[in-house]
Amino acid sequence: MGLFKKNDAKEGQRPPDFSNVRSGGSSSAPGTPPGSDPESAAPGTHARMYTVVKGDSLFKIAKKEYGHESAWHRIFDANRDQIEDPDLIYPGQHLRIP
Amino acid sequence: MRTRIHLIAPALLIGALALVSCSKSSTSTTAQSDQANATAVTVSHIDLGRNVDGDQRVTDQTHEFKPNETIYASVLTNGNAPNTEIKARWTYQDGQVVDESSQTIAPQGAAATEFHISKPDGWPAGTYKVEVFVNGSSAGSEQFEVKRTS
Repeated sequence: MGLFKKNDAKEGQRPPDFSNVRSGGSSSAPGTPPGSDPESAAPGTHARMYTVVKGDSLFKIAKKEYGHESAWHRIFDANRDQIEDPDLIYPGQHLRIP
Repeated sequence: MRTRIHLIAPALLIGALALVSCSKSSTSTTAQSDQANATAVTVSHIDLGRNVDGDQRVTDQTHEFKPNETIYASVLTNGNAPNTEIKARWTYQDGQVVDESSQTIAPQGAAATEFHISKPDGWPAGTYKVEVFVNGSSAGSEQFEVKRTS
């Protein structure tokens, strides 16, 4: 038996997962963001990031992040700069999760 | 009579010109003062550390963090502007975007804006970078390391 478990070789090749990163901030000179209504807030104002892995789809990611697949369009809308076709996403893509 | 008319007409003309120039200058002064109040917001410094004080300034400055620590970046700015977007993008050495968030500030002179990130299961060891953007334009960056505790 080797010193390492079978999975370690595969684990070592996977990029780190940053999907559970928490963030925040504050300012000594806070302003009023345009359209302070959360519904109209621009995507990415305070977004988490998700790294696409093999087998993912916007449906699956929405199910994982929001609990329902129908929220896929929120992810699509927040990542229009890198997703042209919502049926085509690629492993390694870093998607904003609004 | 002729002399008086000769003197009055130019005087009236000069007076009329003075009124017009005054009104123009008062308008332009107002416009100029509005413009003078708004100056470009620039980043003077980005400090990294383990905590911030009540003024959003980093205390316990460092560029080396442990996996279980929260990482703070304090962005010091100068300038006056009613609405300025400050964004911080954190990336890992392999190019992955770790986090990205923005705040809208309305500074009048020197100001400090802090961003912080944490990871419940600990940061992977390696080199990271935080890049700051002001209204979408890159305004500076700082690198830091996460090292496993021995």
